[in-house]
Amino acid sequence: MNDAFVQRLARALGGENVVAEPRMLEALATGAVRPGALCRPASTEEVAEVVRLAGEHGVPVLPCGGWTAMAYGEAAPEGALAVSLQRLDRIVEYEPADLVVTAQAGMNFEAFQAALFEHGQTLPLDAPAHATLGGLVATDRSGPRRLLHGTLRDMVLGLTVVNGDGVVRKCGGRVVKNVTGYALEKLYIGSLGTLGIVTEVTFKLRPVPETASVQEISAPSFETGFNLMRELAGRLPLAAAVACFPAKPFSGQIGIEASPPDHARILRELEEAAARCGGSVRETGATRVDADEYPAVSRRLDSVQTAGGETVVPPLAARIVWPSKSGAFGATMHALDALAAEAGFGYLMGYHDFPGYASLELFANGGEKTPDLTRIVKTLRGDGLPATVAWKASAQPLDERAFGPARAEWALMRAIKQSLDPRAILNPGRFVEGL
Amino acid sequence: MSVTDVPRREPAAGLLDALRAAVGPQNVVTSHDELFVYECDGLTLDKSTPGAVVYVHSTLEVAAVVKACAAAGFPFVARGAGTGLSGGAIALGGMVVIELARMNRVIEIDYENRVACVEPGVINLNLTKACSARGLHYAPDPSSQGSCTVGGNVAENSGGPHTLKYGVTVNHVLGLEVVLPTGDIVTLGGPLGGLGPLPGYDLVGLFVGSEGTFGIATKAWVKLTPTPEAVRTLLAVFPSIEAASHGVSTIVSHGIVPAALELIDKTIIRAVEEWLHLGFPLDAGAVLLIELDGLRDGLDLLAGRVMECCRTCGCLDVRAAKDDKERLLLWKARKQAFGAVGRISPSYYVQDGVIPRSKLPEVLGKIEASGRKHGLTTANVFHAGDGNLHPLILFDERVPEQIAHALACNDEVLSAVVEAGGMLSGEHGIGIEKLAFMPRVFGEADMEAMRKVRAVFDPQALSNPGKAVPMRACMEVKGHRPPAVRPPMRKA
Repeated sequence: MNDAFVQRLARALGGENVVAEPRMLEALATGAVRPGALCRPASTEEVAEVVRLAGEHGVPVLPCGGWTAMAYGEAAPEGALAVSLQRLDRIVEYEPADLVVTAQAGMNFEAFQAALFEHGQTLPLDAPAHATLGGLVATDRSGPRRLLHGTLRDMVLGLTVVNGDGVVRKCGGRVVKNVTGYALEKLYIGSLGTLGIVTEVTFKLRPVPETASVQEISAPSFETGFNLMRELAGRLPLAAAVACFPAKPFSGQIGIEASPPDHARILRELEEAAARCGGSVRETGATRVDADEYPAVSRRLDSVQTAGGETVVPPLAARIVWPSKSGAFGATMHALDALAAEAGFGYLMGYHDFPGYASLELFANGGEKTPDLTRIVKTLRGDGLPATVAWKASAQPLDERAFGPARAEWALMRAIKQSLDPRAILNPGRFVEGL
Repeated sequence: MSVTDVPRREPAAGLLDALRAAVGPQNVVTSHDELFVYECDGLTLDKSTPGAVVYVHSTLEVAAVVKACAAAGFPFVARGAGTGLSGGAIALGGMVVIELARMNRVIEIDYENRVACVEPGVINLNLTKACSARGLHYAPDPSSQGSCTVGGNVAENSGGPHTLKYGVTVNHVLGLEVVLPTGDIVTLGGPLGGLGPLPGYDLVGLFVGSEGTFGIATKAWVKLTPTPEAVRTLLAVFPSIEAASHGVSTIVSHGIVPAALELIDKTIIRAVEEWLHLGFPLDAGAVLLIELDGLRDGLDLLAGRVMECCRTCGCLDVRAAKDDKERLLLWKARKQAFGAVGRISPSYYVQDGVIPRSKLPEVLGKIEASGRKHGLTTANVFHAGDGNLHPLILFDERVPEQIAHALACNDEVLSAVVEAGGMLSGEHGIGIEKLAFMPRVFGEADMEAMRKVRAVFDPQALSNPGKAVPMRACMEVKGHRPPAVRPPMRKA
C-alpha cells in the first residue's frame, strides 16, 4: 500500500485507526480476504473522507462489518483498503411508539436486537449475531421468517450512504409509507457495497410475538411431505416453512408466530393435516417466548436456513441458491440426488417459503470426494435456473461466475454503477460482472 | 412549478405519420375535441392538452410508439385510468399520451404459486375479482380501485387502507416487463423475482413509484394474497380529533397492526351523513374505522385489546359491525369521503404527507390551528395507522383572499409535516403538484443522485419529463402553481 496514502488516512482518522503493518494485516486475512490496509472511521463524514482519499489514490475499497459474509460472491480484490464500520455502532434515533429505529451500519445485530427487545420489539430477520446492520443490508440477508415478515426490502425505510464519489447522500425517510422521490434505498439492498457504503439505516420494526415455536413435520414420502407443506403454507399464516432433504423419508420445519389462540389453532391444523397423510408433528423450539427466549427461536430457524436443522455435516464446500416455483422443485431435487449418488458427494437441499427458493449445500464426503461445483452449477444453469453461488470454501475450484447467468437488465445496472461509483472503487470484482 | 412554465410543442407531421404507422391511423387521436378529455388526471387543478393520444394494444406497439417519439426527440407520458392525484399523467407541454387502457388482459394466474401476470391496463379490482373464487386477492387497494389500473399503481407505488398490514404496491410486484424510453424492451425481475435471490440491483423496487419517468411497464408479475378467513370491523367514536389520534398512537405503540386503521373527523362525518345518511354519530369529534383480520381464533382477543386502547384514550363508544352489510356501509363512508366534501365546499386542497405516528396529535393540532388562523375549515380523513395524512383545506376560489389563505395554510401544513420528521407523500406521488417542495426534504446531492439514476433509464429525458424529481438544481421553493378552479371529485 502506497505510503503517502496511508499517511493521509492516518492524518484523517488518527494513526491508531489505520492498520497497514503486514504482520497485523496477516492476522486479519481470511481465506477470502487479504486487505492491503484496514481503517476504522468513526462517523459518516470520516467514511466519506476515506472514500474520497481512496478515489484520489485509485485504491479499491472493501467495506466490511462483522466479517460474517466476506466469502459471499466473487473473491475480494487483493491489496484493497478494508473499511471497517465497527466504530459506527450506535442507535441514532429510536421512538418505540412509532416502531421505527435508525441505527449506524456498524452496529452488531445481536446488540441491536437486544436494545429492541427491551421495548418488546424486533427486526424480524434471521441473521448471525455478529453480522452488522450494514452488512445485512449489503448482502440482503434473510432467513426462514421471510415467509411472514418479508425481506429487508420490506423493512428498510431509509438509508444514509457514502457513494463512490465520496459524497454523503440520504434516501428514503423515517416514515412507514413514502413515495417522495425515487426509492433509491432499494438499490443498495443486496448491492454488496458496490454503489455506496451504507452508514445509517432506518428500519420498520414489529412487536415480539406473544407465542413462537418451531415444529418439525415428518411424512412417509417426499411427495406427501412436500405437498403437505405446500398446502399448509397456502392457507395458514405460517412464519416459516422449509422442507429439508435428504431426510428420510421427509422432514419439514415450520415456524409459527402468533397470538396464543392463533398459535393453538395453527398447531392443531398442522397435527390434523400431518395425521391425515400418515405423518407427525414434533415441537423443536420454545412455545411461550419473551425477550430472552425469542432469540433462541430465531437462531433455531436460522440454523434451518443454513444447514438443514440439526443434521451434523462435514465441512461445507459451497452453498447455491435459486428462486423456484414449488412445482418445479421436485424434478430438480431428484436430478441432484442422482448426481450426488453417482459422484459420491454429500448434499443438503432446502425448499423455502412455498413458493420461494431452493438452496443446495454441498459437502466434501469424508474428505475424499470433492463435489464438482462447476459441473453442478452448469447443470442447474443449463436447466434455466438462475443459480447463485452464495458461498464457497476458498479452496473449492469453480469455473463459473458466482452470479449468473447474465440477464438483459444488467446493462442498466452497470450504468447505475457508473453513475454512483464513477471510479469503480467500491468492492470491484466481487459482485455481478461489471458491477 | 406551473404548467405554463413548460413551453408547448406540437408534434410534427412526420412524428404523427410514424405514430400512425406504428398503431394504425384509427388509434392516433389528434382532433382537439377528443384530446380535451386527456387534459388532466385526478389533479384537476392543472391542465395541458396532449399533442396526440395513441391507443396501444401490445408491448410491441408501445415499443414502436416510444421509438417514434425517441427518434423525433418528442416527450411522451403513459396513461392508465387517469385517477392519479398528483398530476403524474398530465401531458406537460403537449406531450404524446400513450393510453394503456386497452392492454387490459389478465394474462395468467398461477394459483399454486400465488402469482398473476397482468397487462398494465387491468383495473385493480378486476384482478381481485379474477382470483377471489380461489380464495386470493390483490392486496393494494387504493380507494379508486374500481377504476385505477395496475400499471398506474406501479407507476405511483399506490397504497390504500389495507396497506397498513399488507404493504403498498412495491411489496407485491415480483417483476416487470418495461419498454425503456429508448424503445428497447427489458424484463426487470420476472416471474421468479421476489421468490428468492436474483443477483444484481433491485430494479423492480426502483421502478415502482418512478412516476413513469423510467419507462412504461407493459407487463407485471404480482403476488396474490390469501384472503383472510375472518374480518372484524370496529367503529370507535371519540369526542375530539386529539383523542382519536391518541387512540391511533396507543394501538400502534401496543404493537397491534390492524388490517386498516382510518381516522375520519367531524367535518367529514357531517358531509358524509348529509349526503349518504349512513347513521354516523353527528356529535362525534372524530371516529376511527379499525379493521382486524386473520384466523378467527385470535380475533376476539385482538378486538378486545383494540377496544381497551380506545377506551383508555377517552373513546365514547366502540362497537363492531354486526354483519357484512354494516361493514360495507362503514367502508362506503370512508371511500366516499372526498366526494362528500365536494358537496360542501366549492374547492379544496388535499395533501398526502406522512409523519411518525406518535406525532399525530401534535401535527393534527397544528393543521387545525393553521386553518383557524386563516379563517378556513380543515378536514381530515386518512390512513392514520400509517401516519399518512390527507388534510383537506376547504376554500372558495371565487374569493381571492381565500385563495391566498389556502395556499398559506397548505404551506404551513407541509412545514408541520416536515418539522415532525415526515415526508411529502405517502401514496399520491410528487407528480407536478409537490415538485416545488422536494428541496424541503432532500438535499441537492440526494436529488442529484436521483437525476443521475433517471438519466440511466431515460438519457434524453423524454419519458414524462417534469415530474417526480426537479429536473434542475436550485428550484424555487416558493414557486407555486395556480390554485383550484374546481374541486377534484376523485376519491383518495
